[in-house]
Amino acid sequence: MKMRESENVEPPRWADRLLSWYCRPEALEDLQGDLHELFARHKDHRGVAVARLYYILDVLSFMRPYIIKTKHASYRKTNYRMMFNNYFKTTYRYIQREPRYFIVNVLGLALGIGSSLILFSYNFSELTFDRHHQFADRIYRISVSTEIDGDYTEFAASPPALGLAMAHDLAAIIEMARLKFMGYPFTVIKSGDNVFKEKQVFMADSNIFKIFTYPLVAGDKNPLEKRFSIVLSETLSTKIFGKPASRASNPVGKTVKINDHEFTVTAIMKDLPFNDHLQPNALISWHTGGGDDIWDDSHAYTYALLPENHDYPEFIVKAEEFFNNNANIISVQERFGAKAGLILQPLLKIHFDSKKQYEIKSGGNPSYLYAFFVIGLFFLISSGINYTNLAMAASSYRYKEIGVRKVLGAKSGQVQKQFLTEATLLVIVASIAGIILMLLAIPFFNQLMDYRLTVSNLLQPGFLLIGAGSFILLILLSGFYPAFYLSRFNPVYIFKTKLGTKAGNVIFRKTLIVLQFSIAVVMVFATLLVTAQMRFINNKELGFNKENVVIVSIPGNMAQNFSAFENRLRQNPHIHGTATCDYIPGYSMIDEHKIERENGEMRSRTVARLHFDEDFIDLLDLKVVEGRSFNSGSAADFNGAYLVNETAVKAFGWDKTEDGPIGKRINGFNYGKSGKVIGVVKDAFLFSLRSPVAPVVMGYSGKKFYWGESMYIKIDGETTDESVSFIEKAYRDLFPGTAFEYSFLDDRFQRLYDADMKMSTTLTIGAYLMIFIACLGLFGLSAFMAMQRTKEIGIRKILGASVTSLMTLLSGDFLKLILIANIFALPAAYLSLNSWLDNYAFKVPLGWWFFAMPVVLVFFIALLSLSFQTFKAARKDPVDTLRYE
Amino acid sequence: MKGTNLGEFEELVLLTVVVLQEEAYSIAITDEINRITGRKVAFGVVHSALDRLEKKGLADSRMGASTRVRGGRRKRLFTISAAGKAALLKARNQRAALWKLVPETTFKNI
Repeated sequence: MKMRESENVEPPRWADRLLSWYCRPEALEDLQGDLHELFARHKDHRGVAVARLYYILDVLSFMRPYIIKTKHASYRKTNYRMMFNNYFKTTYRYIQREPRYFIVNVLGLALGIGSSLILFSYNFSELTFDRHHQFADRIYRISVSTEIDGDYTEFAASPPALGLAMAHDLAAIIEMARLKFMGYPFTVIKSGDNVFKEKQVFMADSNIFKIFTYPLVAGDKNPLEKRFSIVLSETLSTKIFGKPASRASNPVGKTVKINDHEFTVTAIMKDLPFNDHLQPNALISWHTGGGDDIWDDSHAYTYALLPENHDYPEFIVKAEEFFNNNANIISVQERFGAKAGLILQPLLKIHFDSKKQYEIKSGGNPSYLYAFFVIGLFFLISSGINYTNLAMAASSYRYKEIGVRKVLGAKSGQVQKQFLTEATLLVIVASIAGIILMLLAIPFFNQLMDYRLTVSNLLQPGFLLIGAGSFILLILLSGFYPAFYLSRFNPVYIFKTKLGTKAGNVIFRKTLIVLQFSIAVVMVFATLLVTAQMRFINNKELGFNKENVVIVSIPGNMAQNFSAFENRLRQNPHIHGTATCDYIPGYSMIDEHKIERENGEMRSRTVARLHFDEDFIDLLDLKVVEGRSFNSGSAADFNGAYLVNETAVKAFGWDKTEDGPIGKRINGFNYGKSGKVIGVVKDAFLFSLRSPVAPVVMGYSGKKFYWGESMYIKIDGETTDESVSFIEKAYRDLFPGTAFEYSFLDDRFQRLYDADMKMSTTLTIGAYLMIFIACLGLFGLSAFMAMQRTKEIGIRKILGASVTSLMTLLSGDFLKLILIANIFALPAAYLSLNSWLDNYAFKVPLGWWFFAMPVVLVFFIALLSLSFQTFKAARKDPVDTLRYE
Repeated sequence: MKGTNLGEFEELVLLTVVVLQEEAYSIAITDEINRITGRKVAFGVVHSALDRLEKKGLADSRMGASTRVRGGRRKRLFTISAAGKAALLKARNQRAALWKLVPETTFKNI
């Protein structure tokens, strides 16, 4: 007992440990010795307990800056920044020794970066729609909706008087301005002998400049004050007057002609970016032709500017109160039998919520944003995986290097730093290549997507941030795991054993390959499905013949030459017929009608309407299944006859009445025509296949009572080019001074699905790229694997293995992984794309081959890229392979 | 770098280092100071003063012998450096110069 007390009593263990933990190594030995000596002294004088207490207090009180360990305390004199030189050198040497590895890596990364950047830049441009206006978050568009007989329709524009009245009565509206199409869809502008057909030419209130940021580069400050003044965009001005290089050719003050009126150019404004929902080419003063007291027609796009820190909900309440109590609105509602509603849409929401009728620019599609974002991420991930896989496979050749480094005193942090440096270097090289790729691909992308990505768009701070973000993400994705994995090696282990691949790392690598190929399979599946749906739609029986029909538009002011034009066309044996119609696929044609119901009541309803002549039905092979078609030249038919389609018959319950649909009354009060049904046309898909056939009413426009704007010309399919040039010549002769433009009906229909078509093309290209990147990785990986198993292959060969069996052996592992990838990917792809298919009323039936095709395709391509290496390895002479090393 | 000024306590510690010669390690120095001055100076205070002296280049240190009571750990032995000597001399001369100027009558009655 005594012995233990005097000799063996030690200071508290934990305090000792605490001291050695926090104390810097150089100071530890003597300090700890000192404290032990003091402990012994205290113990002798005052007993163990006090000594322990003193010891603990001393240990705690020595936690001072000059004692506490700093991070690199022991190597304070080593300049570890110097090592970066060495890392660069090692990387360079490594590239020289394995150029194939370098090329595969950089190519994969560059493709990934380029593709994802271009997708992200599209997203960025879409998300910043209309944001370039200074007051973007204070601008609201005043729109209206109607509800007629349960049929709810929103209109982008509103009656011009509404905006005026609201601006007058509501204090919250600081400024209000209206825009109205000068001509729709085109406005013809003449300057001397030159004729320009321009879209997006508006009449606008003069204070439009106070609401939107339309920078003026020349001319008046307030250019739309006077009637017959016009503001041109820079591009249009250059198109009409040539470059405003000198003062002499300054277009301000010059005149142009529209509809035989002279307009004076009062200012030139900067071109607006593509992501502006109005993007006017020219503005004309409102009072040139815009009315102020129209309450019953929605054609004015009306915008209101609200003050800063406005209370939006309160504003809505006040505005709706005004709207619902306005006498004019009430009387219009009564006249139309409709319930009207007011919509106040924030400017920044217009682009992604633009399902309204008569919207100016067809709106953005949020599902594209998601799709593109996901695909862009896929690209980044896939190319990052490539890098990780290759770096880890290649690492077996670098075990020794790491071992030597560690023996010479490198800490794992430094090895990590080395491999992260290497990844960063490669990502930098690849980013430069990727950015160049992207710049090269922008024109192609623009053409493909019918979009306008510009370099200036990409230089905005927001996008640069996205770019930097993807850059860092990629470095982390590609460099992080190899760096961590490699730095953990124990040098003793490295030198003692021949390192094969360790199980943990193989599983990780396999997971990455599965992920990569899952992505590729999803893309292939998506491509197949979208392409098949597009083909399905194009080949769907529409109920009429859309082939070989040329559409030209007839200028309204030269309708008197129309008969001459038609006669001239009909003399050509290759032209089988002509007809007129006011509808071209792609434009909305809906109107309010009062329609007789089952019980004889007349109630309004918004339905699609067409007006055409007596030849139209035959020209498109539409079938009249009941009653008759229009009689040629009949004034009675022009004034009071309607055809309807079968769906309309069902929709209004006429099939349940005794006397059937013939003779039922329809009142097209909005365009002043009241008449009776004379016949029923077989249902046909004259509109988009996204929705089922809707009720259509059709009126007679007649030949001499020219109504329609477009002429449909049926030609034979053999001499298309000659026929078109014949039509063009006749057109130029009879409608001089008008630009000749034509389109084919089947093209027009295809354009209805333009967005999805574009998506399908983008997806196809994306899928190819994705497979290519994945196969690049596979190619590089298989090369390393084959090299690692060189000896094994040699021995197997000596023992009688054939080339085929060796190739199976080498590819087998990878092919299994790809199969697993398919198992994961196909259900995921199916689920996500099924929701896309729901957009269509008519869906392509999903056959088994939709699932088989991606499997076979990806499998085959992977096999192909693997076989380069496996074949080479299997063919090698065992004499050489066994001598290797 | 901090100034190389010699503080009052540091001067005391450095002088003790000189006095103890070959046996100048932290505990011995603490004991000696306590014995001469009759103060109760804590070990930690001396330890950090020694560290400061070494950082200022006024003292040098080397590892010395180990003893059993220290658990086999060596002592850190301090010696004065040339700069340390110069600093001590300077401090003494400054005081001596001041002492000369003190009027003799001031301390007459003590």
